[in-house]
Amino acid sequence: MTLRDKLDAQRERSAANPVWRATYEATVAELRRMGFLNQALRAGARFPDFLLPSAADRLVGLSDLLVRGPLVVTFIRGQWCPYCALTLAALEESLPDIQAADGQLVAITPETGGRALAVRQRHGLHYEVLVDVDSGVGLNCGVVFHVPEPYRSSIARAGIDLADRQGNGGGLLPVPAVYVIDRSGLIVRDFMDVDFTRRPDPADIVEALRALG
Amino acid sequence: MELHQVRYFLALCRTLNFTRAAEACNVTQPALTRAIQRLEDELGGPLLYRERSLTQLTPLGRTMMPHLEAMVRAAEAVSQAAADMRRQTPLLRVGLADGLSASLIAGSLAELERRFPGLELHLQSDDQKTLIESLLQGETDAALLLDDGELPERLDRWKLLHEGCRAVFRQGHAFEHEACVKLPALAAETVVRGDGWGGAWVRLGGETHRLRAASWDQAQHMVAVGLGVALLPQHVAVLPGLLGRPVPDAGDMRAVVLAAVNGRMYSPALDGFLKLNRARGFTAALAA
Repeated sequence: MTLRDKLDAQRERSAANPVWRATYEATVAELRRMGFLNQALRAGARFPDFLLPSAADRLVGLSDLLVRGPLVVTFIRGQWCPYCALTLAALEESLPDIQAADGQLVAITPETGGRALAVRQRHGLHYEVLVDVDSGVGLNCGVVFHVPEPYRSSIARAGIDLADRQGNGGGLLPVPAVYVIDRSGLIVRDFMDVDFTRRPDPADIVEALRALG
Repeated sequence: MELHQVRYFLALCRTLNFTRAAEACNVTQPALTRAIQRLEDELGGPLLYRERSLTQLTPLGRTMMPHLEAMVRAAEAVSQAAADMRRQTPLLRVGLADGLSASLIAGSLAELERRFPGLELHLQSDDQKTLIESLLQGETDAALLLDDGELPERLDRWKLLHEGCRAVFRQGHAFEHEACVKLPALAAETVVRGDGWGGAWVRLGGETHRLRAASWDQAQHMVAVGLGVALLPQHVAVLPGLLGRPVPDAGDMRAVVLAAVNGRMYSPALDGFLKLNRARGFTAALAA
């Protein structure tokens, strides 16, 4: 079963609930209306420098990673997001291919309080999960958005307290963008969809790395 | 949401004047106005009342301001860090409220030392009130405090952990054979009470005021000579010869928060310190 099959199955299960379905459709439509993707960093731009804490309690900088080779960065929304969980697990499976293409992989989460470590342990990840405290990197990349109603209430009703999880009451989430960055820090490929249930196929990510030679 | 939109909004918060905010941001006023309108569209309402003579933040604008300010600070932290590193020796002054152990932050200090070689690091312990004053005066950069519900507005604070209660006793005590201690079992004991121990003591229905200690250390020394059993927050190190068991029914003994003054620029070391500790899961780390 490919990641796409798993995401489709998850979406179908969720969409059996008409309230979820309506909320999901309204949210995606609202993000499209705002022209969200026009403002995000895309291929050709330089990925912003960062220094972020990791699940392993280290401070990791972009330049520390790039000296070791090209980099794949995947933004995730949080521990609570089933689509992120499926994506993280699929990327773990593709990690040998990513490494064989000389690439490295990091996930970036806005969630604080040990949730990066929890995600890493739960999925047995062998790549690093970095914490974008106060969503600074997400803002630099233009991928964070203020969660619109009625999605905001729907998340809250599900018992997901974004302010508590992120340690910031801004009510923001990132679009789960994936960037492929070459050794010089240039974004060579981006994958982004305001529809958070659609994620790139890991094979396409590996392909983008291989193209770097 | 885009960085420049948020920067323009923060300039407006400072100046409360579209012309001056545009000047401060080096853009034309129509460009600034458009950016603010797009931000308002995303945030779902006006951020400012625009009246002829008076520009004021709306309740939504006031609510969002500190969160957006934190985001911009985080977004600019790295470029700021590069500039600061060239200018001065990094300095970080961290305060710990009395009774809080440096073991909580020791790991993050080692990581900062690795990341910022030559970092000047000052730790201080003081009572909560003195530390808060020191933070506000700019003499302390960040502090671990107890959330007593009376922290001043000017402090940003982030919850680090809720600490449960642990009964500490001498080797050979019957509690030694228990995995945890139940409240009724404590009722039969002479309990050493500490000042300012808060809710846990009240929940015990404690009437024994006979043995009182002013610090965790004093309480443990009283236990060590056989005067009674002490109740300590989970992470306080137990003296040699003493043992500890959790008291789950006693609930949380205290809540520890990380605090820094809001609106101030962070040095790279302070930024790293706050981020490392906010990213960590203290409760899980303590349980391990």
